[in-house]
Amino acid sequence: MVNQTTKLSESIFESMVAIDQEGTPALVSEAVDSGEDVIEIVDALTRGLKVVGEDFENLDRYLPELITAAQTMEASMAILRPKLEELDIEQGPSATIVMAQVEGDIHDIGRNIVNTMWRLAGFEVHDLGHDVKSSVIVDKAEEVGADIIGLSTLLTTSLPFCRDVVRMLDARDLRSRYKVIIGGGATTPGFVETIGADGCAPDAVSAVALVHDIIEGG
Amino acid sequence: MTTIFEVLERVEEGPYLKEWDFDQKLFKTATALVKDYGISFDKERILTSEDAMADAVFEAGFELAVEMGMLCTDTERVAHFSADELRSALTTAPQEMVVGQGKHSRVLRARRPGDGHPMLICGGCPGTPLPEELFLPVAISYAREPLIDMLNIGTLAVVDGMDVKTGGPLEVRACRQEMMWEREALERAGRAGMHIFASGGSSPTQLGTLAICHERYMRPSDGHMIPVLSELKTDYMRLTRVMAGYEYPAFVTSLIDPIIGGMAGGTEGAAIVLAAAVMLAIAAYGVDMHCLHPIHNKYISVSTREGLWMQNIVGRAFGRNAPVVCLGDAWTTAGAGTEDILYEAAALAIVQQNSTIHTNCLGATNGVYPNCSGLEVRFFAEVAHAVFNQELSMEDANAIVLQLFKKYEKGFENPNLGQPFQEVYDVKTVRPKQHWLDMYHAVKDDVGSLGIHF
Repeated sequence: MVNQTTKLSESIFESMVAIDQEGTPALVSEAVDSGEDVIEIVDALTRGLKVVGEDFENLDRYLPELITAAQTMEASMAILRPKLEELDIEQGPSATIVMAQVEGDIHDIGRNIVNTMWRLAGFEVHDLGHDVKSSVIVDKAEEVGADIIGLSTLLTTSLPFCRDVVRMLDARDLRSRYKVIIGGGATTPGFVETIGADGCAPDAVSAVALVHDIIEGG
Repeated sequence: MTTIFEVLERVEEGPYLKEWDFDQKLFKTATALVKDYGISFDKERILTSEDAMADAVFEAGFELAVEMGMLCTDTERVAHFSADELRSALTTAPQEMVVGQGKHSRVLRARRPGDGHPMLICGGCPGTPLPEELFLPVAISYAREPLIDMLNIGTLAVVDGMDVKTGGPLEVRACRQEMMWEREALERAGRAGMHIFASGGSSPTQLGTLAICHERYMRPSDGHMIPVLSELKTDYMRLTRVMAGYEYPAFVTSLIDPIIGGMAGGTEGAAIVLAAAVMLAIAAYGVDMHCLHPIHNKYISVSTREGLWMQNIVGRAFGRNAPVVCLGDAWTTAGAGTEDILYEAAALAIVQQNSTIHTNCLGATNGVYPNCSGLEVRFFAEVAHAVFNQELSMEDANAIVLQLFKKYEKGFENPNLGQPFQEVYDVKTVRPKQHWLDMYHAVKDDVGSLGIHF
């Protein structure tokens, strides 16, 4: 039984590395039905995703594949979730993030990459899309009980809208509830400091590390 | 040749397609075309005179353009163009134009491999947010450089102490002020007629174009820029910019930023999507020229091996098969006041001169920090002129570029952002400070020792 479990987990790992969008959830179902260790299945999926993420960084895999891998992970976790709840071992996401491209900016690609990497890391991401008004971002954070508000912009002229979000949180006496982090081509650490945000990340990998730092720092 | 009105009809009536479905179709189509045409990128052969590879990129790009068309993200409809329409667009696209005025004008032509014409060089810091108090001195630092042929200064991010917001009223003021200061810089440098490329860069929306379509700001001898959204997409805002410039006789360039590792796949996929975007930009926007700006998924800069190969191969693809005017952005990771930016500039200058493109500008720190100055453009231009005058072969040029990579590639992981303008130049005299000049001379000697004959 131990050997069989190991073999099936290895297949799940390999299937995730191959980004088999249909095969991976099917293997997960099979493993659950066989009564295999749920934690081991999650571990296999996570290890597979890590390989995909590293391949993306090294230009061995590309953005559509990264997004498909995230969708495959979500489909697989949907199968595992009842079992995790049954066993009372699902701890839920380690962070809930509301993410948006701020007003005036319609550049989606960088934000999509960050969203995907965050989801791969196990964070719950509520993506509001592009050209989002500050009030909509704050309202959504309140609605979902977010821990973190992520703001993205490629445009220098949309940076002031990041400041608007921080000001709105201040005005509504909500600033202490959220960490506000910023990313995108126009962002610099100096700007983040100027507007009183909590951090910035120059790329998607750093964005994952930044959220981990925030969580661990309390 | 399709008209803008036909394009507007197509984005309203063309086949409906969700953006993610369009993206997936692009990935599959580009991946298959790269395989079918045997297109491959070799990290050690950035400059290649392989005609078959350039032709393959052109043909694959053409097939991709016909198959995909251009998605309008506002209507989620695809404007398709037939093969005949694209051929007609390529045939009728201008191959030569006089930009600028009087004795400061230049002939900007579609380059062909081995045609004996050097590249034109645009000086500036496109996309870089500049504070009000530095905009004019920065512009003068470029305008004074004798080897530049055109000017394109960065973004005016603040007006009268207030932030310029996307779509806000200050976009109008910022673009007009930007143009007035660029004109003043040229006048002070005694080069009043020089072409201003990508006018109105302080605005990413149609407001900027509308604000400057007047001779007081953008002259008919200047030009403005309209992006193709990544990848092969447009929207009402971009099309409004086309319409805003429709009745005004200034030059128009496309801006194409394919992402390496993005929706078209790897370096080869990004190259054919770049070629396809050039074709579609002519058909959909009716532009006169194109700005090629490959973006690395991790390092951003054009000075990566992947970015430089793309500019070379796509430039040659058009130079051989359908000459159109292409300029390459030359964005660096490093900033002014560093050796890294000068080595990056040298690699960019060698590749662009030996390709069939011109250069837009040297964008220090990928346009993020105002760590830029005229001196690094002087160095870029000197290398470009030397390469042309000594008739450096593709093989020898490639060997030098590989040597240059060894000097700056390490900086991609931890960029040396350098110093802001006021720390490398005397703002009052607009002259480079001694430490920056000394560094320039030292790197020039070193690059000379690699085989560039200044």
